[in-house]
This record gives sequence, C-alpha cells and structure tokens, in this order.
Amino acid sequence: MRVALFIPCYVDQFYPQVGIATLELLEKLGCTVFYPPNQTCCGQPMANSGFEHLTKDCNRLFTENFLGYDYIVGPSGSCVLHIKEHLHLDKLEGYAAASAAAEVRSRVYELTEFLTDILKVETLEASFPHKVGLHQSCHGQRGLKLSQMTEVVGPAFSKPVKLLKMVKGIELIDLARQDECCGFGGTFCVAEEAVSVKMGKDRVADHLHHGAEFITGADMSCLMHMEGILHRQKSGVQVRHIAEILNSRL
Amino acid sequence: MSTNSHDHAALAADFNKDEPRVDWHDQTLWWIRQKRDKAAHTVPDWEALRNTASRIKENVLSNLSEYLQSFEAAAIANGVTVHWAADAAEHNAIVLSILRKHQVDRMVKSKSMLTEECHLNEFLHEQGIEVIDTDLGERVVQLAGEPPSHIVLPCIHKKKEEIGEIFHEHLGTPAGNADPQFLTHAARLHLREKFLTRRAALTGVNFAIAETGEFVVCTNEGNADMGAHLADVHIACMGIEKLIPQRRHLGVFLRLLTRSATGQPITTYSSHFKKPRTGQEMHIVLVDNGRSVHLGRPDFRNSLKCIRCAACFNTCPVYRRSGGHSYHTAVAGPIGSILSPNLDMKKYADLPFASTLCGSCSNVCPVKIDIHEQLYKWRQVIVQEGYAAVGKKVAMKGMNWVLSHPSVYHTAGKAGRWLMGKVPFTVNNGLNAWYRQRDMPAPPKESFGEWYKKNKKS
Amino acid sequence: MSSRDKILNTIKGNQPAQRPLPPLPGEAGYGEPAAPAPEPTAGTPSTDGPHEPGTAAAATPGTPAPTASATPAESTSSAAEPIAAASTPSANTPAAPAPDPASDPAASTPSADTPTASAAPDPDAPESAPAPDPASDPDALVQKFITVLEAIGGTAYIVSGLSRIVSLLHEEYPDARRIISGVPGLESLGESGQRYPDPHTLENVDVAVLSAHFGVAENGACWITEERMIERALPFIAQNLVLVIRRNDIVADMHEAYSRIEETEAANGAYGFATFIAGPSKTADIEQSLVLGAHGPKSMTVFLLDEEMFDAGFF
Ligand code: SF4
Repeated sequence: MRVALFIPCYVDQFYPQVGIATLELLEKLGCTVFYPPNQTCCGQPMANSGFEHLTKDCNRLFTENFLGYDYIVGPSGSCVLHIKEHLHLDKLEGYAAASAAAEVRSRVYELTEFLTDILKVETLEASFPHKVGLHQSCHGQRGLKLSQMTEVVGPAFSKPVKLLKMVKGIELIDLARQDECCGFGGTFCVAEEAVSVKMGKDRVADHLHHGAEFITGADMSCLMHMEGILHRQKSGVQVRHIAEILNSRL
Repeated sequence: MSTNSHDHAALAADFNKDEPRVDWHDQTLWWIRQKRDKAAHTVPDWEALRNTASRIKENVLSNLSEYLQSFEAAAIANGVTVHWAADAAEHNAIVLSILRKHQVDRMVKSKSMLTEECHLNEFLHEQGIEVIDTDLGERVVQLAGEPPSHIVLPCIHKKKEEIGEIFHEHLGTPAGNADPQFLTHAARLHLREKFLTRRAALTGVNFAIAETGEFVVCTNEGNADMGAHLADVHIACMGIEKLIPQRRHLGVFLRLLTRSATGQPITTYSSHFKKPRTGQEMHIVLVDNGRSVHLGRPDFRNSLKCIRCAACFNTCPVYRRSGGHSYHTAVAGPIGSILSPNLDMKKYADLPFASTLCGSCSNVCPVKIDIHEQLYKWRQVIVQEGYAAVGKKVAMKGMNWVLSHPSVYHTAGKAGRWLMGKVPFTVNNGLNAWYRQRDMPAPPKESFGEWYKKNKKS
Repeated sequence: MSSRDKILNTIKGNQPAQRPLPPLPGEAGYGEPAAPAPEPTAGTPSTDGPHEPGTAAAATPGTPAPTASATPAESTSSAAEPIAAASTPSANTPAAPAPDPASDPAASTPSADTPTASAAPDPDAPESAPAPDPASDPDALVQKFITVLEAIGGTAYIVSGLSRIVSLLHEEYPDARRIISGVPGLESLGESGQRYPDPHTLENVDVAVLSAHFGVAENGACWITEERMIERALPFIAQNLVLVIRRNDIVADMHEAYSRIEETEAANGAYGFATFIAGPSKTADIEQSLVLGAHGPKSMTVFLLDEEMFDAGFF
C-alpha cells in the first residue's frame, strides 16, 4: 500500500515530531510511506478568508505532488477536509487536471479515519499512562464525521476514541462540553482575537477542571492554539497530537 | 443603535472586556442548547423530521409565487385584507395607513423580527404613534432603549438586576427587587393594562398556510393572542418565506420549532388565525424586502428556509461569547450572518467572518440550512465583489497567520524557508493579535521536511 | 407595476426548479433521502456506531399505566388525584432539569434562587417516551400526556364524572369570584350560555372552563376551536384555564393531531380561529427563570373525563 504523507505546513515547521510520529505509525502498520518533498500548504487559510479564487496555484501544486498514490494521509482533519471539499482544478486547466484533482480528493484521508476505516486497526502497541482529554476538532468531527456530534440524534461512535482506547494505561477524561469549538478557526484566531482567545481559554479550562495531564486531538492547529494559552497561563498541562500517543512506545 | 461604524470583531472585543459576564452569557445560552439536545433526543426520528422539514421548505421555495397567490386568495376569501410590501419602507407605510384609517395612535405589538428588520417602531414613533412591545423580553429592551439581542430571547443579555433597575425606573417597582417572579408579575399588570386599552394589535407570523390562508403564531406568554383578540384591528406582518403548503405540514414544523428553540415540546400557544372575529378587521402584510432577490442566489437561497428558532444562536460558540449586539443587525447569530449580507453586503461584510466555521449551527438547524457552508461562500463573494472593506481588513489582520503559511501569495516552493525567517519576528511583536494572549510554539531545530531528508531519504 | 406583481415576477424569475413535497411521518418513504439532491446528511456517518438507539429494545420500561385500561368508573371516581408522580402543579415546578452537573459549577445560568424549571419536559420523564407504538396503547398515551403536561407546568386529573370536576374546582379555586363555563353539564359553575361582545369585560374572569377537542401526548397541548371558547379572548385572558377532554381523546403526536383536525373540520365545518394550548402562560425572559402566568392564565388544568360519561350522554 503506497501512502503519501501530507504534512500541513505549520506541522512541518513547528511540530516536526507530529510528522515523524505519523510516519512511524503508518510504517509500523505496514504502509509504504512516501513524503512528496515539494508539498507546502493546502490553501485553507486563504480560502477561509474569502480568497479561494487565489488558491489555484496551491491546488495545482498539491495535485501534482499527491497524484499517483493509493492513499494520501494527513494528521490534520482541517487540512484534509479542505482538500476533500475544495481541491478543484478548473476545466480551463484541462480535463486531465480536473480529473486528477478529483482523484486526489477521493484518496485523501485524515489519519484516524485512515487507521479506522482503511487499515481497520484493532490493536496498537502503544502505552501512554496518563490522564488525557480529547479535543474534538470541528472540521474533523463535523466535517469528516470522525465522531458523533452532540447536536445529532444518532448512534454514538468516535474514531479517535476507539483508537485511543487501544493505548495501554491511558485514562480518557470526560468533559463538560464534549465537542465545543476551541476558537482557533484559521484566520479567525487573529481577526476575532478576543472571542478566539476566550473560546480557547474556556476549552482549556474544561480539560483542566477534569484533571487532564495532556490534551490530545487530531488537529494540531487547535492544539497549537490551546498550547499557546496553556503556556501563557504557565500551566504544566501539555498538548500531544493523537499520532504521538498512538505511536508512543511501550 | 448606531453600531455600524464598528465591526463584529471590535464589538465582540468590547463585550469581552467583562469576562465574568461573558461566562454568564455563554452558560445561559449553553443551558438552552442542552435543553434543546434533551428535547431532540425524545424524538427518535428527529433527523428524519429535520430532513422532512427541509424538503418541505425546499418545495416552498420552488413554488413560492404559486403558494403566495394561493395564500392570498384563500386569505381574502376568509375575510382578511392582504397587502404586499416590496421593502421595509412600504411595509411601514402600510401599517401606518391602517392605523391612520382607524385613528389609532397607540398599538400593542407581539414579537416580530420582521418589524425589527423594517425598523417599524422607530418609524411609527416619528409619526407620533406609540408602540408597546408586549413580549416581556422585548418590553425590557424597549424600555432600555436597545434592540433585541436574540430573536427568541430578546433580553438574554440582561441580568435580572439590570431588569429590576429598568422596571424600577419605568414601572415603579421597588428599587433593588430583581426577583424574576416579582418582575414578571409587575410586567403582567403593566401589560394587561395596555392590552385592555389598545385598539390595534400587530403580531408576527410563524407559519402561513398556502392552502387555507390561515397563519400560525406561536408564543409562550400568550401576548399575541391577548393583543389580537382584544383589538379592533389585527395586523399580521410576515416575510414571504413564511409560507408552508398545507396545514398538515404544521405537524412537522411545530414538532421541531420549540424543541429547537427552547427545548420545550411546544410553545404554550400555537394559534391558528383564519378569519377575523366578528366586528374585527384583520390585515396581513406580505413583505419582500430583499427576499425575492435572495431567492435568486443558488448558493444562499436555502437560508430562506429559516423558521427563526434561534437554535443556531444558542449553539454558536461565537454568539455566546460576543452577544447579539455585536452583530449590529436585527437578526444576529449565524443565520443573521448569512441573511444580512443579502440586504447590505458592505455594511454586513464583517458578519460571515464572525465564525470559526465549526458547523454546529448547521447540525442543530431544524430545517437543515447549511449555515456554515454559506458563511464560507459569503466570504468568497464578499472578497470577490470588492465589498470586502471589512473582509479585506480581516484578511489583513489575519495576515500574520495567513503568511505564516507558505500560501499562494508567495510562490509555494520556497515558502518553507521563508516561513522560519519571518514568523518569530512578527509573532513576537507585542501588538500581534496572536501573541497578546497566547504563546507560539518554540521553533524546532529542524522542520519535518529537513528531518525527513536527513533520516529517510536515501 | 404594483408591488404585488413586482414581487411575484421577481420570485418567478428566481425560484429554483420544482422540488417535490416529501412524505410525512406515517407515509411510505418517510425519512428516506430526497431522490434528486440527497443532502450529505449529518448523522449518517460510517457504520461503526456500536449501537443503534431508538430500536425497539428501548421500549417503555413498563409504562406505569395508572389504571388498567377499562377503569371501572366507581373505583376511580374517588381517586382523582393528579396522576403523574410529580404532583407539583404550576408554580413550584421542580427546580430545573439541571444541566449536567459537570457542565458548570453553581454559578451557572439558571439563577439558582428561582424555581427555574425549564419549560422543557423533565428530562427523565419523556425518556420513557420513545415507546415503540404508544398509539396502540391508549393508557400509555394518557400517561404520557399527563407526564408531559405536568412537566410544562400544567396539571391533569383523570375524572370519572362531571360532579367530580365541580368539587375539584371548588377545592382548587375556593376564592374564585367569576367563573365562566362553556362545558355542557357544568353550567352550574358560574356564568354560562352568554356571549360577550366586548371581550374587555372578561378581564376579571378567575376561571374559564372550556371543553377542548383533544390532547396531544407528545407535548401536552390541547386543541380548541373558536366555537368552544365562548370568546376568542377568554382562554387567554382568564386568570386560570380549565380544559375538559375525553380521556380517550389523546393523540400521540402532532401528525395525528392534524389528521384529527381535518376530521373535525369535515364534521363541524371550518374554524375561524383555533389554538393549541400547552400549559399556563409562561415566560423565561428574565435570566431564563421560568415564571408561570406571564400575561394570561397562571394555571392550566386538564380534566380527562372517562369515556363512560360521554356514553352516558354528556357533551
Ligand atoms: S437558521 Fe436554522 S437554527 Fe438558525 S434560526 Fe433559522 S431555523 Fe433556527
């Protein structure tokens, strides 16, 4: 199984360990992993600011980089969702380009959904003996449907929780608000700084209140936002991307 | 309120200066969201019901002109006078002419977001006509000289002590009494007197039925009924999108509306007005005010399905922490953010950006409006149409973040290296919006790409 | 061009292609996605959901069936207690279906000092509701109606006879000075048979006693049309409202309610005004504290009259 690793730009620059954990985890599970070196950004920050029309170059590059693999896997629900929904190349660029983009869209997976739905992982050799709070990032949860949403009347399920429960020693804490947005929101985090920070503080407080030692999630951007707040509060609680926990050694 | 000079971010920042109050506001609305969840879970086929409601409304939008005509014909046959208003000004003029005809200069009005949208109260006030809002929450904000901050709970931003103050000043209740029971009783006496002495009553409309020409008004207080049944003239004002095809479709909407709004299984009163009572005049004003144009925007027309339950307000983490007034429009919250740009794209260019696009709104919406997707699409439209005075500003403010990504602004290839050079600098700026209340991660020794090259690539 | 024509023309130019009406609950195909443009529905994500809720298993855990189906008239006649467990009527509704304790510390919203029952039904109560088919079990419907009505601040009694209503009303409203009754057989309660051309004169009515058509189990609402109101204003302006319905006239939900309304209309002619009433007039506008008796009735009582009485010629 040829898997292309999609490492979002901010993970590449600020959280290389998340990329490494993702890579190691996939290899451990038997995938042949490739990292297309020219990858940069999915274009989401622009698009969410209303500049989707400027993301054409980005889309072309992404398509070139990621065409031809069985799967494309990224440790970020938000970036993956953006690709799934918005990676379009105009017919102006030719039929081949448009269908290549469609091909890429159909093969891109967020890490936990890839592990659950494609690799059908049932056990993991991992151990993380700590109290952990799971942050449900909105784009992964409500966009990619990684887990059931509290608004919806339907059966309960959660791909991240299912995976985390395979980790030895882990204790998942309950939260008062299971799936409230952390307020990161891409450019929202600076454009609406006051509300963004307040949302982040509230989310962090929920985890602290329930005794989390670590906050994890499938989206590093949300975790970066919450980490920024935790640091500023001089809290000892740390953030860990879910890939790091799933890849943690015995 | 002249908040137009501000944008949502600025008004929200203002609101956030009092953090305990933000917490209180957030928790009050979250509590209602929880009640909504519980109520929804008592209906096993909730999602199917939402789907059905959505499809009924889609049918309405695809037959709107036919349904309006059938409604009009049926209403006229029922003895009701039907008026059409192209815009807010015409709506206000129609209401005024009805009142003038009856030489009425004092009127009671139950909740109608449409009349807020049309600024009817201000208009009538200028014409020397006194309007008393009879919904308790609306009366509170009216006495306070403010617009409602929420379409279902107009004074949700007010603490009971503040309401006690307002009542003390205007209704003469004892200073310092902030007991809701007591204050509600005071309002009851105050408003019952108004009901008994006003000869004209204006109500909103929740649903209008094309088949029968009747309309339904839902209240918990009974104020719409008190007004309408005691007055000589009943004026009901409705946006043209309030139609539903047949009466039996109410079964779907009435099951959804109040559970979504407050978690109640139904409002106390769901009154079906069909014919004027003997000796009474009944008028219906059908108002367009931009709706027919909105209908022509394929990406956005679905927002006309809205039944104004406000579930999207209560669930919105941004609304809860920024307050209704920060949206500087009659209908605030997520739905207001996708309806308002249609009315005035420039003035409301900021609203589609007042969201994290978390998607909770679309999940609670009983008629399944894809609210967060429309927010995203409005951003594109606003930027492209050059109405982005605010939108652009937002993007500029967001530049630290945008540029911290190797984005399309800078050719993708060399962006990686560029990023490391720039980010720490911009970010350590004390005025930087990220850094003011958050830290940035310490830049690692090497990027993932560099690590990969060293360790994996052979 | 008139505004009317202008509006209609714009709409005609802008309205999308014809979309069909969906089937309603109870009709074939209900709940299935629309054929042309199936929305990417939330709630239908992949299938690793461990358990399907709402499947029959959830059934009513032994519906407390207050009385076996054919309540012998005599035996209940003396036992006309309010039925549902929480026999707390109106004002002292239990203190709010507290938000999950975890969700917020005391400070939280529902200002703790007021009897802030949410207007929502008691969370526990209707839980027993996703009954597989309550429609087939009249007792379950009655029980549910009562439970829900009490949760929204109303009171319900099952009574076997009109005389029982009279005595209960005397007990409940000993100080009532002005009672208007529109219920055949209850003329003795106060004024009856009159019309009130000026509805303002109804301002001081303490109790209005009216017969409604039916109740709705899922939400505690009663349907009443204009002819049964004496005056349209009466059920709203009276200080207290009493509705009488037949015990068997409880429908499961709003869909059945509207079928019933169609039938009633076919039999009795169209109404000019009609309403669902569910509980007393209420507001929670002040800090979400529920207060009963906003503008209208401070209490709403429903008497569920046993079938036999009707067969005996009342109504
Ligand atoms: S958009 Fe949906 S959730 Fe929001 S008020 Fe309208 S109907 Fe309710």
